[in-house]
Amino acid sequence: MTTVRRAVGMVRMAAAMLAANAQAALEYRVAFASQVLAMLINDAVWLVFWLAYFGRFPLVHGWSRLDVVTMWAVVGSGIGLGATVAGNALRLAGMIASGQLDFYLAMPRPVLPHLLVSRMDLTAPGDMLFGVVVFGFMVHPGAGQWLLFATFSLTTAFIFVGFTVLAQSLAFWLGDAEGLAGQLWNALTSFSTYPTVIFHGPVKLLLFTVIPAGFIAYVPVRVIQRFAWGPFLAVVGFTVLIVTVAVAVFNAGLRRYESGNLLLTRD
Amino acid sequence: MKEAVRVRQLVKRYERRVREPGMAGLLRSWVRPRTEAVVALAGVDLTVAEGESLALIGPNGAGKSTTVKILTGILHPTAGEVSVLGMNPTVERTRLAMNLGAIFGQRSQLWYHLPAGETFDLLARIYEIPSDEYRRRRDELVVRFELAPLLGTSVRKLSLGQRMRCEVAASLLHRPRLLLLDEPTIGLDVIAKQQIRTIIRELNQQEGVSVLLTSHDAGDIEQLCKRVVVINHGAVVFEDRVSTLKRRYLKRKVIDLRLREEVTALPPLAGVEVVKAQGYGVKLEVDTEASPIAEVIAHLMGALPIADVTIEDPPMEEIIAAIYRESRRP
Amino acid sequence: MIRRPGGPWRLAGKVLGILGITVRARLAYLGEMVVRSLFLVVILFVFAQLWRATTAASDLKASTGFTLAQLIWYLVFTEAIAMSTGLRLGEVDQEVRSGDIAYRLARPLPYPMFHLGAALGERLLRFLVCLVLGSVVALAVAGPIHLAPASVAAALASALVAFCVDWVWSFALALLAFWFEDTSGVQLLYRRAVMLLGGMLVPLDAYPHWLAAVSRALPFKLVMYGPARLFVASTPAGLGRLLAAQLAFGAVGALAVAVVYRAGLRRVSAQGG
Repeated sequence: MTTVRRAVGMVRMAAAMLAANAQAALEYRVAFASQVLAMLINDAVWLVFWLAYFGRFPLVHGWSRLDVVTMWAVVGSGIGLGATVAGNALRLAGMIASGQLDFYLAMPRPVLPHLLVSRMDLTAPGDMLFGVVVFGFMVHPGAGQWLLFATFSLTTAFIFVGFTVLAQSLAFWLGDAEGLAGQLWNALTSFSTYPTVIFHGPVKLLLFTVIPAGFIAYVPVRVIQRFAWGPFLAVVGFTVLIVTVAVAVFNAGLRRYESGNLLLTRD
Repeated sequence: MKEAVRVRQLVKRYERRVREPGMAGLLRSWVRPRTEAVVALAGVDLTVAEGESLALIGPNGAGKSTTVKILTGILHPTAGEVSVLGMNPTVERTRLAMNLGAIFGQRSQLWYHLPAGETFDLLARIYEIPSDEYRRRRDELVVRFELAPLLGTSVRKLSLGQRMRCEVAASLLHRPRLLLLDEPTIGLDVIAKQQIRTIIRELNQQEGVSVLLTSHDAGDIEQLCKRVVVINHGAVVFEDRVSTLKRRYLKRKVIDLRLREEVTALPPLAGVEVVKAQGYGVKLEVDTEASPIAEVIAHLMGALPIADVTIEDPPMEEIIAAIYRESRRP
Repeated sequence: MIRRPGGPWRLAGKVLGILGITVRARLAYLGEMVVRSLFLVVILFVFAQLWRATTAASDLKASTGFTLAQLIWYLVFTEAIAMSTGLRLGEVDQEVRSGDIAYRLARPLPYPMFHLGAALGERLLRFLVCLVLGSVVALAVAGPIHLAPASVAAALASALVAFCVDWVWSFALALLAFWFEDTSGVQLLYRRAVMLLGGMLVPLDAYPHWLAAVSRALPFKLVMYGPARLFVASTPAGLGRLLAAQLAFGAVGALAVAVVYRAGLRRVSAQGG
């Protein structure tokens, strides 16, 4: 019973933080709007370019341009959602190295969720908006597909945050892990934005484990195309798994941090 | 006698854009911009004689940094005459910069990850110092500031005090005639502060470098400068020697007495307030306008078995605060 | 003794001084730079797979003018150019907004020149690291190609000029910080334009016709496509034309910087910082 209550508490806190962050962003309405607009234009140009490219060089393995667009829509709205709500995810390694966790440790709230939602990435709503708009206008989805889209945006968001927390938590053991964590993040986004179908063998295995682009891009696209319970549940299951592992790893690192074993590399 | 800095009737007005909050306000401000005039400096006179050391102080927003920025040519005055080392900063900013030394307490010019010597070499290039002259000057400063053991270590590994010594040396490589100090001892511990102040004082006395100091630290002011100019609300509210500042602005002195016997009763004296009377110690505050200090001392000497006496000026911070407060009254 | 500032040669010397010291300061963090470049492994691998999976894989040479291996080596060069941009421009934003720019203005080195030296120093070092790393990965992923020494030299020379040109325009945009609170949006768009209209991922020859026409008309190709094409070409033909175009584009950018910078300082003086 208490777990449910705690979960509800966390959701409420996240909602409150989100509202506070949004309000702070809207204080600088022009700057915020220009950030979102820039992101939208950025994504749109990217989309046009790749559609043109795939028009000229279609893929052999049966992925149509529509599939590619669906992939971006899900990835965009999912990662956008994740970065909007949990804007501190990508800065975790830096926060660990510079001792900023102390602030959150002193608060009467669970450290990880609190610190993740304390910040909103100002460009992320642009990505989210883009994903939704592109999905609506280019894929012409039915109600069922919208539902799947929403669900997968949610799972992608959680996988993104979970993966990022895992990668950034390396800072608990490695000291200066910002560069490495950044590279892992780049790897994830890169593999998620190119049709996963082009990869075979060991790489494909990689994409369903260490760098879960498969669960962010490949499977959701397939399921939105044609629903099947197996793949759908696989995505949900993996989401739960990665979040659990991420929380466990973070907490292990946090214990190490608290015991003072951490080597602070920053001045 | 030549003047290092000469400022007459300096006026600086800004035209600030007035913008209502929200989207509507923003659009309105694009269509029909409204400005309001803000007077940052309302006619300031300032002189730093050659070889002199002057403190420019004032509360935040008083116009200090505006004045300094005008002196370095970053801002253009609205009216008035400004001459620094015989040059007009607005017109000859680069040439002035070549002959100006600046130490900004908040921002080091030493490259953090490299030994200080590397920054020195770079500065020689930037200030266009001929190489043999540079090497002579650098060696002289290294000896003077005892930097020899520090030069091979990267700046980030030095202590704050050591970094500051390198910083001061760096600012003097090109033999500037005027040294601008902006919060030079901020963040330093007591010993480091003393070291830096001693170095700068000696420089002022031995090499005749003119010094203009802006600082909130009373110790800096007391130890580095003979004269002080107080600015508030864009105008000069006080200008005199530091010693006069203390004498004129607070008519209070603190007397600390150590008695040979335990204190029992104190003679009542006009203008004297007892702060503490306990055991062998007595602390009194004297209003020197009501009772001249000499009289008070004479009375106390006659009335009490005094073993030791200390007479203190009120702390500098109080004096400055009093000036700020006084100048706030219309 | 009052010194007078020297002429343009002195100024160039100062810029080179800043460049040198930036490189030396960065060398301490070479390891970190290599780690940050690991992205090259991913992107080169992804693209090799992407090209192999296209229907035109068998006749890439016919449809694009490049073999698969050449496309990968082309990407090595463009990625080295793209990934070598440092984080300096955020600094300009912050310096202008916070007023820290005043600290730099008190020195006898023009503010833009300081940033030119620092940006170029970082860029050159990063570029070399990425180029070496990328070459290693390309060898593994696509195998070697014939690199003509004259072409490589031409590519490197034009890349150097491209860095200056790219800096000039990025800096002009960054100076908008005098007017706008956040210039990161417009800087992102510039980077994206260079990337997509400049032929970073794919040479312009492979673009669909309408996109190729647009891209050829715009100057962004001078930063990416121009130098990278020379890198994989068999002769340095076209270098002269490329350099001329780059210098023209750069000159316009330098003018833009001068105008914006002067206007920005005037604005600070008029409105307070």
